[in-house]
Amino acid sequence: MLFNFARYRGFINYLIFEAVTSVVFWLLIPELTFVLPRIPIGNGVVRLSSSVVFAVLLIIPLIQLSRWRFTHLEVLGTRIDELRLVTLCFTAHGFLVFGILSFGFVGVFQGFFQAYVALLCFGLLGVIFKFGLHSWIMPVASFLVIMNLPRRFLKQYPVLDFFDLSSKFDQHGQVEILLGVLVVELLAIWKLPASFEN
Amino acid sequence: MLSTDDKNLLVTVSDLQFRFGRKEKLFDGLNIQLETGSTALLGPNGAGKSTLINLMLGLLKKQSGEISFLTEGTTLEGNTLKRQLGYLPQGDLIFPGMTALEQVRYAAWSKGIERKSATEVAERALAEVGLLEFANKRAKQLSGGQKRRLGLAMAISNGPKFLVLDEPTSSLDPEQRHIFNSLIAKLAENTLVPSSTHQVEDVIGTYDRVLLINHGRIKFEGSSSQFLQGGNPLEQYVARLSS
Repeated sequence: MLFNFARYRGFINYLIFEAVTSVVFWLLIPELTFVLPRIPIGNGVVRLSSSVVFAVLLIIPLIQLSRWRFTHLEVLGTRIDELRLVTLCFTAHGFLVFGILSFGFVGVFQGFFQAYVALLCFGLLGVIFKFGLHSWIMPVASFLVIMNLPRRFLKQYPVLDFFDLSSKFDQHGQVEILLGVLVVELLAIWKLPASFEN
Repeated sequence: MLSTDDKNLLVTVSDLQFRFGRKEKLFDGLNIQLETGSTALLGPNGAGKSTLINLMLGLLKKQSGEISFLTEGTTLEGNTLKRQLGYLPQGDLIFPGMTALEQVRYAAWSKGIERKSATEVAERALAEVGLLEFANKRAKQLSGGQKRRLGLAMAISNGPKFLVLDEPTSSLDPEQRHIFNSLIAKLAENTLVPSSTHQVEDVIGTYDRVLLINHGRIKFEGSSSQFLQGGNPLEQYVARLSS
């Protein structure tokens, strides 16, 4: 139980860190852009700098997630010190796993920064769906994920293909393996809290 | 579920001083003593009820004074005290997406119950508040009253001798309030239960004693029957507040 919840906390801590660094990066390097989405407005198509979109959208879940802290239940519990320690360990674990995964996705998402923002989106979705947190974040997180989906997935759903996603996705054969690793990691995180010893 | 035969429980607050930041002192030498049974910390919004509870639990840091939890004359501290504390906060439950059983099991575990026995303990706590049939429902699927009872199940999962409740019935309809108040009265038979409330009608038939607080000062201290003497409870309440 300690393991499970500390892992959650660590994962969430990591997501918060990701969101903070994303915004800081954007503030420091405003010319840094992501895959540019095109949003149809009126007769034409307006290209929005997705760095702006990301920065704004990331602030919203950041505010929500920053509320995460040890609850009264935990603070008044007898295991708070253990929880803090193991949470720290799993925060480090989050860094490692997501860092490695982000490096793996560099080609797919056209850069390390873009890759870890994309992974952040997947992470957010996992946390949100599992905990039923703040339902209004769901469309935001879903939007972020869709914007980062490889083109090959979107080909099957032309209606979603209004984002200008790079065809370079198709050049990277390793994407399936990396996605597999990501899915396994997310499933592990997803399933752990339900695996209390009975 | 709750410990039995503990009639000698005591919470003492001595010369408590507290202020938020640079504001005027909320508590300036507060002295109170709570005994086994239920005590309503009654008062209007902003009276200092929740602040007092947070100070008692150590969630807020007092500027000076002493707050002690005693059982059989012995002061409890650290993890020994934490194992004997149950707390129902005003806020929401921790994880709305988790089932009722998972939440209570986690509460029990975090209070030091071994994980092997956490499920059994959690089921007993859920049964005590009448929620066993909802054990596998997610918290977000429960009604407002059921959520509060789930919070209570979490608070009593470790069988605490001291059960602190913060506005337990403020958001409940009359039927759910009645159910909840009955639970409080039952739990208070062998436990020390301080419970903040601003609802005068809750005092009737639920609490053994009343501590009326306004602006950090005690306006009345006595049994609930004493409090209710002399006519309309609401009129008594208003008159004592402004005394």
